[in-house]
Amino acid sequence: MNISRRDFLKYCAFFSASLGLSSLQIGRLGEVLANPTGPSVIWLNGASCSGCSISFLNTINQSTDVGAVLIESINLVFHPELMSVSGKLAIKAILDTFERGNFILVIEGGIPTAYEGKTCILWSEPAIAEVSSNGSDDRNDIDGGNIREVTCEEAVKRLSSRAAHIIALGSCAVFGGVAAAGENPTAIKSVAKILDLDNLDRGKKVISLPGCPVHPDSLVSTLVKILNNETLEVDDFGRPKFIYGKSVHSVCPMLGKPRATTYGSQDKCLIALGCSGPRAKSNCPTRKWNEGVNWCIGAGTPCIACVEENFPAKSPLIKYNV
Amino acid sequence: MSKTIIIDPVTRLEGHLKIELTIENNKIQAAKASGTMFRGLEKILVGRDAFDAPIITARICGVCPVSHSYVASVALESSVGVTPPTNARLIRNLILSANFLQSHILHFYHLALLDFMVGPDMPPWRPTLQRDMRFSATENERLFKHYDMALDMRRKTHSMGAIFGGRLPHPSSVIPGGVTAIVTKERIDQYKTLLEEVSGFVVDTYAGDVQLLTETYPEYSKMGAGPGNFISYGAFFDDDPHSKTLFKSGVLLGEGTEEKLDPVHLSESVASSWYTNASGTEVLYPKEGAYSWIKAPRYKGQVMEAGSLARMKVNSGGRTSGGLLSYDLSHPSVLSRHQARVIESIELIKGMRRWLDELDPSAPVYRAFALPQSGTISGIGLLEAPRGALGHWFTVENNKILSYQIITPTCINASPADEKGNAGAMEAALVGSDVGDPQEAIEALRIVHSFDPCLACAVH
Repeated sequence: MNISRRDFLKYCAFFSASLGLSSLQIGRLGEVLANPTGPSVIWLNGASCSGCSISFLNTINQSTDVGAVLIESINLVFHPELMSVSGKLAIKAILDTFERGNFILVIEGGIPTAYEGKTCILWSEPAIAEVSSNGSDDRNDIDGGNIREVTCEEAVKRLSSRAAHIIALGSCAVFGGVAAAGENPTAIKSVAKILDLDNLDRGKKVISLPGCPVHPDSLVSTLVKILNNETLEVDDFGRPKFIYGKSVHSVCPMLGKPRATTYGSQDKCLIALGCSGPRAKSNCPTRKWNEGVNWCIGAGTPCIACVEENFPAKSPLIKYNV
Repeated sequence: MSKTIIIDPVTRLEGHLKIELTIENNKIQAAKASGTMFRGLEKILVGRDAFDAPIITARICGVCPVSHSYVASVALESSVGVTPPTNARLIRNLILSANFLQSHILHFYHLALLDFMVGPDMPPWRPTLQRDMRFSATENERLFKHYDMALDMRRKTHSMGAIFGGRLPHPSSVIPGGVTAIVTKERIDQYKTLLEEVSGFVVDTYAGDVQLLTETYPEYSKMGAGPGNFISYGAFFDDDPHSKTLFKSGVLLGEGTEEKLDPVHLSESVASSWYTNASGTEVLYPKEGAYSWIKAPRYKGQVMEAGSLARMKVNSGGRTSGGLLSYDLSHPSVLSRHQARVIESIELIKGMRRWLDELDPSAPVYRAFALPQSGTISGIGLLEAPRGALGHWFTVENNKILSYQIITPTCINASPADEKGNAGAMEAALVGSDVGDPQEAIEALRIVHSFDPCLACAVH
């Protein structure tokens, strides 16, 4: 690239805005991005609420270095909410990227396995064996040919085989989450279970970023480390320790304060109201949410441990009558 | 000769949508909208503590979680005749209204506008359909700058909501009995500062861009009409008994006069949905003739449209104005849906300023209550989400949920055909529209996106 990193930052688009950097200029952007260098990102949406995608849009980080690495390195080739094109051209973007390999696969949501996985269809494609991006045309016309529906399970298995990195995003992808709760009506499995990884492999092969939703910084800072080829220290679930290392309780600013026995008070420990901070490993107390304006405990609500394996099994999740 | 076109996935919306179009002589003859993802949230709730409902139902949707928490809380409270303190009502309104603005800004700029303008030459904006792009290079460049600004603005609306909600998406502080976050002068000021910034964007930029769209694509004021029936449950409780709402409730059936909403007239058909006809809820997959996980809600047996357009029509009888804008909303269309959203945003901001002023830092935000431990209790919560009419119905015994039913706005708008063969609202809006090139059916995408479909909500 013939443009300095600073100049580039000045004009960059999507991520610049979400990172709180300055605005863009389209012409300049096209010039700069004529030769994209970094890996592409395919973002699949399984059985989810899209809350992690929406949370990702809230990304803001004071460090321009984080922005710089991200901006210069990412091609978000497939994202169901953000990408312009629908239908066949959208699928082609996936298949072309798959052919090239070396992409980052982000999976948001759990993966249903009941009814042969058909409670979550990600796209339709012609029913000829082994669709290749080269051979297939871009037409949406299905006359004269059958189409087949690609389930989330199939897509995750297929695409993960050539991904350089796999990120399970949010508690549904990491553990099954809300959709897997109770009787688990659609037999949701986590990404690790679908890929048949035991705990040892899990940490190496899938980076787990739980949270309901995931905090945007968790994704962005992890991407930065991946792109810098840093070794991520992870726990048995594949959760990076720099995010999920300490319990909420251990660093909670309310630790040791008088205990609240009902809602609507400030500066009190919420443990008697069922706070799950002691078993929730997350940096929420120091990082907070939404430009740092608040976080759950800051708003007087007990932690529900939305980053943990058994979320949301506990019921009631918080206590009301103490 | 007719052609069948499948668009799957339809991107730039929340969740999983497939559209199948039958096109003859460049005109859409038939349309099928399929929700292609099912989770079974209603089943997941069964057996849980009733007070978990606001937290769990928020997870139906990452775009409009506040609406679900709010409605679930109201349903529980009203089942035993409890109303939350004034501060709680105001705070809930302030979190929800911030999320309305978030949703409308996100929808216009990031989900819908790329059907009319071309983004920079890189993913996720390329590839893109480039047929019928009418904005001049200067306008296109300006609109994309606004797309960029809008990312900032929608983030700020989320920060507004998080000041009292703890965080967004999935706010934590809306609970049965009120909210958990106290009112402080600092929080009010912080919210006010952000609101004025967002308000400036809505009035100066968003409204101007909707006007530019209106002028540049005039025939879209006649495209994508839909069923012509509208339903609104009323939005934002505006008095403590919860008897008044900022945007009122009502039903419009065709050219008839406005009717009072009565939820007893609501029904759900599963004729084209993958559930047994007998139960209406048990999964039956595959099923003859079914093509969607979405059910088909009807009011007095009629196909309805929900959303900002329905709210604005019910509130104004058709003509609305906000700031400098004045639009005739009597004919439902792609453009009138976009116009209704921006007018609603402007009207809503006036309400938000008032609610901020009514907050009292010395007053409580929570009123503890418990459900009776004997007998079966049932409750209903009806309120408007950003995309339209949202209802929660439940029965509870000994604090445990026996049944939970949710009908969402996109369930109303993106429903499949019912047992009488009547197409859903979005399907009906597609039928009859001209398509310049069936391989690049941008007209169809413009119609679909004008409803702002939210598929995770629609199926849940």
